[in-house]
Amino acid sequence: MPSESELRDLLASADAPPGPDARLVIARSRRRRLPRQLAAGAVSVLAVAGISVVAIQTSLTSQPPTTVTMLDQSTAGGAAPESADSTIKRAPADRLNLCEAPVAEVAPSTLGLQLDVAFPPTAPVGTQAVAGAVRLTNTGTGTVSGTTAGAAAITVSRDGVVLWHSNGPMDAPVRTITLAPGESVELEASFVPVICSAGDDLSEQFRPDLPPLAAGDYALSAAIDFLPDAPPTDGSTPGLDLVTGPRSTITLVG
Amino acid sequence: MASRAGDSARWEDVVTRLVAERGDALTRYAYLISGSRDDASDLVQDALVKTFGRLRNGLTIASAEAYVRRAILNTYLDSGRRTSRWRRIAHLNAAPELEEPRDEQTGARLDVMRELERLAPRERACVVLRYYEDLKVDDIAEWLGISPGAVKRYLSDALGKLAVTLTEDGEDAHRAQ
Repeated sequence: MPSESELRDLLASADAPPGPDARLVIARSRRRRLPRQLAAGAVSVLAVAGISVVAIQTSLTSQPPTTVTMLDQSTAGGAAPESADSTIKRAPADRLNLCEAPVAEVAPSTLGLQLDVAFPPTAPVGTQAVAGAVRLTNTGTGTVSGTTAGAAAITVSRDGVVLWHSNGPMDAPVRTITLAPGESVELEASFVPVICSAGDDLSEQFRPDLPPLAAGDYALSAAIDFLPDAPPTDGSTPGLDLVTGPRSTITLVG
Repeated sequence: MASRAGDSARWEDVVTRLVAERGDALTRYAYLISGSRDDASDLVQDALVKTFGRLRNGLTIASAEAYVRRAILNTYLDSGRRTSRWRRIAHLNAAPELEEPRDEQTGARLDVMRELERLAPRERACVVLRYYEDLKVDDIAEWLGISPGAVKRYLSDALGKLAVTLTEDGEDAHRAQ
């Protein structure tokens, strides 16, 4: 009967078949990514179309130019491909950071928007969601208007490593926002003080029984996608702008 | 467009480096988990595609390998559940391809691999995670989504089967008595 040590040696010396072919993996991955990229673009376009219809029904007389423009972008053949194309440059805000991975470094918003987290300084250790808010501020010199999700994606991290991030379907309705320079608006946000693992990102939604984070200090950051009504002033193609901001600290207490 | 090209290059670079640096280790892991050379190659390819076929940013070699290993395990266990019924009767139709042992060590390795192949998927997964990956029982339980007690039970059953079979014919049987 082999000992445990001998079993380890035997497993370690097992003859393995040849390794995978990177070119084949990349080709298959590309094929698999494409529908997802297009779907992500379609969801964004449909969301804009939906809010446009609501806007038309509720405020047709007050703001006809804005709503007509948004409908044109989301339904007409000319502008939609550009909008969809722009959304496939990167993952959506809630997939920006992944469990156990380093927190992504993101360039500032091209529109001059900044997203600050506004949570209580402390929260209890546990598995209950902690409610808070994020503040979207126009730090630029011109008025910015557009559409965004009603809730921001939150990331909990420590020492630059992601411990948890927003996941699963987000129920908050899409919002149309107009911000003058220096103006800000608050959006709802929440996080769950638990720790996820790399495998959780393979599912559409995290497991419900993730272990709670230990007491201590953690970093919170937020991200949100913003679709401007007007094209950027630098002449580039209009598209989803990823808005983030500085991290803040929250203390979990036992 | 430059941004898009840059994003694309990053994940493809990670794939290329991961396969070059850790491809053999991943395939060995898949082989031990599945007990089949043919299935191992497919498992690794599928797990890599599953990992990189999603829209992800910021994957490093280490985090990507963790995803792939998890995907290999989950894919194998899922397929194992579907084929377990067939596996129970497969030996009635086909005998495994076995080589004659060339020496004692080679023979022992073949015995272990042959007996690993006969273990239930979760039993084999527990053995590989414990004795090849060097994971602790609690970590295995977390990986498999089962209780530590269940892991201990799988390990005990698996080692029992390996030991019973391995001691039936060989000289070790005398030492074990």
